[in-house]
Amino acid sequence: MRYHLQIGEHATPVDAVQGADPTDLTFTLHDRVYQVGCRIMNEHLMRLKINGKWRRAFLCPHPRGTHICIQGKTFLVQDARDLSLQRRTSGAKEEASGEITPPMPSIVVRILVQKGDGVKKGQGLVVLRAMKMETTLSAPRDGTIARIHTAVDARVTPGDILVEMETEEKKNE
Amino acid sequence: MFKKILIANRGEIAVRVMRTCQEMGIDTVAVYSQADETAAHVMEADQALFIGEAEPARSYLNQERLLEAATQSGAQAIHPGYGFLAENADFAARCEKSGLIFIGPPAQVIRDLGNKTVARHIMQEAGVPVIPGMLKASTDPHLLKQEAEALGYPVILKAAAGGGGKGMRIVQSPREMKAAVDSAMSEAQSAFSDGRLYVEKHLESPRHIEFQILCDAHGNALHLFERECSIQRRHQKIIEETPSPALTPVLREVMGEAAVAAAKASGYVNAGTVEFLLDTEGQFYFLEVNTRLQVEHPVTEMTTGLDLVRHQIDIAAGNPLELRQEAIPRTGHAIECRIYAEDPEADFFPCSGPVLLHHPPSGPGIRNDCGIWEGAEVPMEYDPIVSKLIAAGPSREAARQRLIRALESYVILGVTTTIPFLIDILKSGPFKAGETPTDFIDQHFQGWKPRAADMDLAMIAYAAHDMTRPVAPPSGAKEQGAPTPWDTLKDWRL
Repeated sequence: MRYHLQIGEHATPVDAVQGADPTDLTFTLHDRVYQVGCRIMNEHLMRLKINGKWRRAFLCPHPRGTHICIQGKTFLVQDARDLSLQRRTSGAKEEASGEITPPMPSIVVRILVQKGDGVKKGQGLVVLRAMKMETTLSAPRDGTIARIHTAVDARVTPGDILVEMETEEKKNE
Repeated sequence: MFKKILIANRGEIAVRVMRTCQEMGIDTVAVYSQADETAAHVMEADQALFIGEAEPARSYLNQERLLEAATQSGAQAIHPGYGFLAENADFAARCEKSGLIFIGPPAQVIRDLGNKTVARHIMQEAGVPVIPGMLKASTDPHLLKQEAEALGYPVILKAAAGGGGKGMRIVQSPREMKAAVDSAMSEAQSAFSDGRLYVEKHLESPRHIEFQILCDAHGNALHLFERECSIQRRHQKIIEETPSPALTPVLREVMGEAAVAAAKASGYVNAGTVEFLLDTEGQFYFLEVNTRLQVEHPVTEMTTGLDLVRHQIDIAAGNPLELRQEAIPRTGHAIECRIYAEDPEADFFPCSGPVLLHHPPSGPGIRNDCGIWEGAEVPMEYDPIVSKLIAAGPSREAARQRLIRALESYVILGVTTTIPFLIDILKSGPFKAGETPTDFIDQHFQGWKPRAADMDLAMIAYAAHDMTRPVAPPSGAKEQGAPTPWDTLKDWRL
């Protein structure tokens, strides 16, 4: 079977073949082939024999995917099946959307635009603070500010729509 | 000796201070904000008092409330940890006035050394080499420019009240000067309500070398050798070690003497750190004195066997130092790395949230000063440090290998941490060779990305888990009445 997996921006198809022993697996990622043996030890721990060496893998379901740690390297692995599900349930047109949401839980420090403002791609829209550090959310493309759903000092989390932009493409539809 | 100490801090440092108090038979009082009701430091203490809302200004920085809590709990002394009020001279003075012992230097010493130009003046008088530059801060752009020209570019602009890189600008040429002065001044004004700047000669590729000092109230002062903290990101130290691979025995002795001279000149009492920059020619210059316990103090403890917090408490109680400079033990090498809840792939944006799984490492020579537990929430309001992992060994290479091994077995799931980034730094050729100037990260790890091979393994683990785990019942089933064996057995296969 084929998985479509994603870590951050890095998306890879993973082809998997199960052997006669269902714990013997062969994975192909692009041109890289891995022979894998697999033992599930408990809900968070599995042992993996990868190309002849045993490793421990720790797993945890995470609101945005599955958090996995092997030898100190931890990644949030997202499955395309879940991602498309999330997209359908939220009803948002992900790619074309001009909905600005924070990457992490944070506090709104400043709002740099007003309703009706025309903005250029890359222009700062909202300044957020988390753990003493400030970061600016900027416009993903040219457009106009349609709505602002937040205020200074508001606590916001990923998924909250802070600003809605009307983008040029949308207008032409 | 004190019977009860209030720790005016949170997270790993509060826990660390409390452990020494426990060893000394001193009762501990934690304080906590709304965001920290179940934090590690609250559970470590004998007693915990609520001090206000999550916002630091309404809790950990609320002097009135902290003094009240100390009185209410019957504590005789306050340990400020690092950060928050640790270098606040007014707070130290208010403790003194309320009849509480502030575990740190006298208020006047904190005040003098907190003002960067006053500190430079004190050091110059005492014969400690300072970086060529101004001894008086100014808001006059013309004067600043004249001074820069006299020193020769590149120069560095710094805020008189500065700290944490705020109001700091490196200026390469006269053309950049005006814009740099404007922005540094406004940044300093908003950060410290003091826009005064001064100009220093900018050193290219220096190392950050600091000396731990201990001074009692009876005129005894000594140092506990150096720490090198050159691996920094955005002026924030992330890896620290001792001994420094850059110091010769002669240079160590000369710098140690300068550090003790600096301590004596400022009338220092308690534990502190004298920071220097060391240039590529082997010349060292005074940078500043940190009037508190440093984040990186464990590397000194791991190589000397001393407990710095115990010494802080002893000194604050008026006991004389029983150590002698020439008899201070020191063996081996120690390296510390700071584990932050930050996403190194997303420009180190802080990651708050629940810790879903936490397996700290152990083994010979490993110490983990940790402020989280499995099930804890990493709040968004505070510094994102979750833990400091320290490894000691007979040599630098042994300590480096131990630290890598320990990081590789450290599991933190739920919040993203900087562990993968730290592993890559420690494994790099330049770090292994001890070639670590302060621009190390810019030189070697700008725009760091995880290796594709590491991502492959995580994806394989996901797919392997998905294919071999027991089939879960339809998602609706759980809501219908009593749990089935599938719920109680979790992932166990029948």
